[in-house]
Amino acid sequence: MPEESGRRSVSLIAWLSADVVSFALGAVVTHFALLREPISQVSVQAFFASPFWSTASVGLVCFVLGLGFAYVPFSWYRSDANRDLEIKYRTLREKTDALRERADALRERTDSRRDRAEAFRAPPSARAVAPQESPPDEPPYSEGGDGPQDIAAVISEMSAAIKANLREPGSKGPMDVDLKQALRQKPSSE
Amino acid sequence: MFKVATANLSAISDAELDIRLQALSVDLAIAGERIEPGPAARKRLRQVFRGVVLTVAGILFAAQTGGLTLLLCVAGVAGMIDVLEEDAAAVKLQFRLSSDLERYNGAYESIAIEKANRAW
Repeated sequence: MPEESGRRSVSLIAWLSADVVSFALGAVVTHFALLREPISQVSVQAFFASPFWSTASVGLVCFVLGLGFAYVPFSWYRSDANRDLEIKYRTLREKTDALRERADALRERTDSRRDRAEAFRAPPSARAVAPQESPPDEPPYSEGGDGPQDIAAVISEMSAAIKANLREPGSKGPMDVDLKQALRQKPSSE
Repeated sequence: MFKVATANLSAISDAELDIRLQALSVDLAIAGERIEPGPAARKRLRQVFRGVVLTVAGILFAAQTGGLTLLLCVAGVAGMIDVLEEDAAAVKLQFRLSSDLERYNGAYESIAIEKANRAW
């Protein structure tokens, strides 16, 4: 911006110098070649007092005022256009940001799903190390990890114990049967 | 400047598509900042008003001052030329931003369509 302003000043000075030089050249040419009399005889005061200048000044003033008035609506129009452009840019940017956020969320979801799948595919020793994969509280009867046959045996033993308990007249009621004890006894009985 | 090849968007990976989306967002932010703010236009309007007043005053008082006030006309005209020059640059920038906006719109549409095609 300072460079442009410097160039503008130089252009202005060059323009004024060219005006002065051309006026001087015109005076010299007029004095020595055409009029054969000094140019200082031309009166500036008389020129400004003449009817020509009166008419010309009115015309110039109207022209300059017209330029100023014409600039105002153009300026307003351009301000509106700039505001409209700003709104359009902001809207498009918001849409782009929303799309990007959706893409980010989707990527995160995909990554976490992939991580979970990889952890599932990992060997059991690695899975045991992972804190999410180990169950927090395992019941004591499943510690042995014996399988479905043992569970069936436990259930049959439980039902037998309950029946025996019911058959005895002086024994405790069915609610007092210690199921946990029966369950724990199963591995030792094996 | 954001250059998007809309024809081969389907050939690029998801990560590349996300990078393009990110670049588009950044470019939009930069271009949005380049839009001329309202105060700059108002300042130019004030400068034009000042130039008109100086020029008119110089012309009107030239007869009484023997043409000395024509120097005011020089200052006023120089100010108006400055303003018109800045104004032309602002109009050029505005046209360029408008055409850029159309390009950005096209890029966004193509990326959004590609994202939708890839089944979110």
